[in-house]
Amino acid sequence: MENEQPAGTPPITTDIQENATLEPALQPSSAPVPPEMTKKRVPWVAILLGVAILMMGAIYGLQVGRSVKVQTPTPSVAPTANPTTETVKQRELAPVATASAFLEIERSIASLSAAINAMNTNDTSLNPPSIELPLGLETK
Amino acid sequence: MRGKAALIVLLFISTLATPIRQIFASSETAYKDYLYQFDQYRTKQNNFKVARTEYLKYKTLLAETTALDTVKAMLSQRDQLLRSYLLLLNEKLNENTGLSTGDRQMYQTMIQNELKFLETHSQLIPSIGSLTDATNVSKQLESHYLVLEISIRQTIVALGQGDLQKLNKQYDMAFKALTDLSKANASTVTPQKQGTIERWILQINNKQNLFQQKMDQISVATGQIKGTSEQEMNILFVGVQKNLGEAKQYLLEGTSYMQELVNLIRYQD
Repeated sequence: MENEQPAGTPPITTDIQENATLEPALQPSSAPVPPEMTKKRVPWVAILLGVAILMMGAIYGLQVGRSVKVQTPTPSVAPTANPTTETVKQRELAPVATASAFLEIERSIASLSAAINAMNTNDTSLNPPSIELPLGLETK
Repeated sequence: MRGKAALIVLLFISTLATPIRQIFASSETAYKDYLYQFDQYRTKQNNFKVARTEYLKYKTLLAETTALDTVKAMLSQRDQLLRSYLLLLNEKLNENTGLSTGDRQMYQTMIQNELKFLETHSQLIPSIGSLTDATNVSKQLESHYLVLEISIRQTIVALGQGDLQKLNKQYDMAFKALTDLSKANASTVTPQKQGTIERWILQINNKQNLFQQKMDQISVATGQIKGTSEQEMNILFVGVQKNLGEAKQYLLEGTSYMQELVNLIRYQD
């Protein structure tokens, strides 16, 4: 059945065996990119881009959240009537600090300081009067 | 009986209070009088200026007579103004408790001499019969005025020195009391703190020494307030006033140190 041909047509010769060793006539100038390599690069870029977008989004989200937090009024803390002794540390007074002599000295120094500050070394009310001396009646 | 005792106490207190009130009122009264005399002088000086302008312009007998009348009034008032000013200074000297008696008497004598000069000068004014006489009488004051101004400036400086000396006495008392207290309290403080206290006491004392040195400089400079012109004398006066300010600053700094020392002693640590 396979070799049946119409009459008068030349017989078909199969040169497959003869041409089996032939090389292609034109070789490609550059080697084509292996499909495996292109398949690996594209997803990494996309992943990196995705991660970057996600990070930017996260940062933006955090900032927006923070600004919103600032705007929200915080409940005021009511001051306690009795502060704890741990927070307020007072210096201990010397026994002499309550003596009348000490208090008297303190008062006299404060009074002296006020008196010195109030003293005016250039009292303008004591400036001599400005008067005109030559009469200016002499004609030249 | 109680009523009588209360009345006697009241009378006693009022007797004590009266001279004090008078002392405080005297320089105030003198100042008010000085301001009034100054006001009068300005009016009479202006009247004279108008009359002088008319006389120099028209040279009429009427203008001359008006100029003569106004110049006599002005000259008299000028002496009166200077007199009231010197009396103000005299009252200020009386009230100044920081000045020594010797210094006060010295400056009051200077003022009395100037008042005598003005009295003699004012006695010449009624006898002025012409504008030439008026010019001559005026020239007597003009030639003496620099001496008068020097006396005035020296008195002003003395008043400032008196005020500072009064404050220095207070400083001295406070410093002594503070030193005594520190010594009495020495056993209750740590040796380290006592060392700091002693060091600060030395610094307070040092400020007072600097004050005293400045005051000595002022005393010397006050005696040198002279000069051939008003301008030269003013320069010397301004220099002395600057020294007064510096002396005050030393006292102020020393007092500030004393306040720090009080705070150091107040607390145990």
